[in-house]
Amino acid sequence: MLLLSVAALALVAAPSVAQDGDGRDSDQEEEQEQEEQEEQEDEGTGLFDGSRRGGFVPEFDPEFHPTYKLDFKRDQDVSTWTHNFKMNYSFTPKVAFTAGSNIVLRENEALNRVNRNEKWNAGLSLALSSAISTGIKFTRSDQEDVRNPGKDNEVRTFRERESFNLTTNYNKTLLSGIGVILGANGGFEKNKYSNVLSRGSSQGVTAGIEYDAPLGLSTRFQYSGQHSLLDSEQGALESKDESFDHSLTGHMEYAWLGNAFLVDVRRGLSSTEYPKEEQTEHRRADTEGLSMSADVGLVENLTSTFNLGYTRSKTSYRLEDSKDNDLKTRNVQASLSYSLGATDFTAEMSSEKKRNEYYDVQTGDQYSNAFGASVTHEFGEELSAVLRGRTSLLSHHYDDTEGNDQDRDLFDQEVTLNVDYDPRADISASLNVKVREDNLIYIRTSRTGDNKTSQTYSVKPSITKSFGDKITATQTYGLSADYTFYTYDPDSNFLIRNFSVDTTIDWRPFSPLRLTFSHQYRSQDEGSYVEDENGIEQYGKNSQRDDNSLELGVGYKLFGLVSLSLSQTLSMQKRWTIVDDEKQLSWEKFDTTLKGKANANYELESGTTVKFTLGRIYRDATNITDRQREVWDISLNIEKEF
Amino acid sequence: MTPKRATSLAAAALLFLCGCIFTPRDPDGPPEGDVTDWETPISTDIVLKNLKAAFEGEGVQNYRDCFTDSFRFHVDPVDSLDAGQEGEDRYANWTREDEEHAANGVFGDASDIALAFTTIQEPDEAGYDTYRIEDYELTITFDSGEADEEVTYGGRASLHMRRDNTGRWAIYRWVDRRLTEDSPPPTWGTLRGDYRD
Repeated sequence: MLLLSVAALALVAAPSVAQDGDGRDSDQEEEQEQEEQEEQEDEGTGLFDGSRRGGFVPEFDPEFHPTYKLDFKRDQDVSTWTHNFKMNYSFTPKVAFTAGSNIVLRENEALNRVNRNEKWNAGLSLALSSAISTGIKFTRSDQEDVRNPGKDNEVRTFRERESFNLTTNYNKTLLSGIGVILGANGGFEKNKYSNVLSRGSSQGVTAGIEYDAPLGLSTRFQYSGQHSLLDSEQGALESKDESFDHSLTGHMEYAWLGNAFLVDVRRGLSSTEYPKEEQTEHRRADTEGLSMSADVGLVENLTSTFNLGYTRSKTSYRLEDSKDNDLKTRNVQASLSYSLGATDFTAEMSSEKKRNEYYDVQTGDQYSNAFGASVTHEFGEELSAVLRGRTSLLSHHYDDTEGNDQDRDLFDQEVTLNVDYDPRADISASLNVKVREDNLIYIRTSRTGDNKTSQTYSVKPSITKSFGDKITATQTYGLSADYTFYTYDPDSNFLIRNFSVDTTIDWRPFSPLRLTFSHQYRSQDEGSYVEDENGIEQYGKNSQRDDNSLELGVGYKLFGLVSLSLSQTLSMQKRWTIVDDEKQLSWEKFDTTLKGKANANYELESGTTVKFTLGRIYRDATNITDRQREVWDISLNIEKEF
Repeated sequence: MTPKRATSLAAAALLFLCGCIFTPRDPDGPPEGDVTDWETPISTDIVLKNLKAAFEGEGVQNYRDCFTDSFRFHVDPVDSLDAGQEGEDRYANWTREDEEHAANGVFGDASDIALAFTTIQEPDEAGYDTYRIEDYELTITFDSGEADEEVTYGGRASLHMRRDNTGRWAIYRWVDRRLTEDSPPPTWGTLRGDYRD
């Protein structure tokens, strides 16, 4: 059976939110970061990750599953095409082929730039027996950025990487509870940057053993080593760059009568050579780590955890020795939780000391301590309350107090109270109260002018009432005051006050129809908070801002298939400055949007699924461009099974 | 020992320990010179003003406070490509901690810093989320022993900012781009990269 997915043809004529080309670029970069993270997760992180079923040969699936996705987006400056193709095919239960490609082409008209990213991969894996597997894999990635394409001043910058690897793994669990993994890999790689070319070979070995004893004891140890030798060229430099990376990890776990004890150790050593400014840079890294934790429940209703940790990371460079560093961290953490009837009590404390050796004025110690506690109590079925408190102190101590005057303490305290009250089935209410204080204390007199204390007080009550099963109304109030007190500059003391009311009504007169109404009101004012001639602190308001936003919406499901929605939003903002107790309008803005949308998910009897969204947005607002006034929002996704 | 007594003792020990380790240090004394340049950031203009004052005045905590917890810096792709083999690691997942560390490194090496912004696109501060586009010129005089070295960095930054519940604005995303001229100056992104370990 062949499953062909023609998925995600997305056409967005312009986004509903004003977005510049650079902003869109950053979204793309975030997507790329996520993709790279997913790829790393797919690769697995250790010998025992997903390799239990016999190396890297996927489970046998005789069906052919190629997928292809095409995506196009366009905003006022940037257009982006994305092609994605993936294919997994098992010829037999022991032989599988995988291939994929991802191509992203982005054109920025405002900056006159074209950016292209391509990733290709292909692999063949073979299970020689239940324990031994082998395979080959090819990967290629191209990245190119062209400024002023097609013009005399065109500039191209690129990065090309290719690798070919042969891997063999042995993975066996013996009846005695002992598991063994052995692996070896070797291959070639080629890297081409704008001004660097390198090519050569790489080899690696992996070995691991694990043992699960019947009395709750389990252990794992694993080693991996990688070596590469590359011929590199950069300008007049021709060099042989040798790199290696050794990693050793161990894990021990012991469970006894509901208590658990864990120990993890790791050690890493790496050396990397690469061209830099026509010289050979040599980066050495040495890491080690130890963590011990105990989860203990010695007393009924009382659980506790203790963690101890140590890490060290030392890096040195031959050319850029100003980047050398040696960082050490020691930390301890403890937590307790205790239940007594309707009351739960938890407390957590942590302490960490970091020694940062940068061999310059940044060298110093960093101490971080935190304590938090909470009490939860249920007063019958209708009323419950949670009281939380937290305090933390972060201290920066630099060795060279003459060369570095940034020694400082950050001392924070916070208390919150949450109360939920449900007196009747149709009424629920809640109250949130928060008090917070942040202190910034510079120690050296050259910096103490910035010392300040910020205090925030906020109250947020909310009530929800249902009228039958068709109407629900919710109203939330917010009130806050945010003070800033300068230790040595009281004339700069400042106060911000906020008041807000949010109202939402949801009405479902009959099954497929839904009506919504929401209104938001925000008022903010701010000004000085300084002492008058009598030594009493007075608030001197110097500006105020009011925001109102109203939204009406209607939704209807047509024939149980197509969801239709129409909404109208109107928002208005005003800002005043206060001069001699007189309000003077600084600016006034409005934004109104009419949005209509239809979307459906439909499955044919043949198994074909169709998903579409068709939307149109009309917008008028202060200071928007014509391109933002009328916007299409279209997407189509078809999945066909042959 | 009963569970109640054990819990009480543990709580008392924790509270005693808290009293010891949660006492901040006393400052050396009142400031020698100017008082604070920091203004409560109730507009995006004040965020830029604070950022300029903090960077020029080498105040690392005030500089850090111009950014949100979730801050990310996105380098120009050409700066990443130009960095060759180091490029991918040098700029990946740049957070507020990286920003603080890089700024601290610059402050340690610089004898003078001058920063200027030119607004290319004004922000719309009606909502809780906005962005503004700024051209920047950053001139740093590096203290390199016998003769100081002056380097000028320039580029275009899309600064995405967010307003919190108390009305304070801060930068949560900085998208850095080279200027479009034929021989653009190095960007602030390359300076950041030079100070990442």
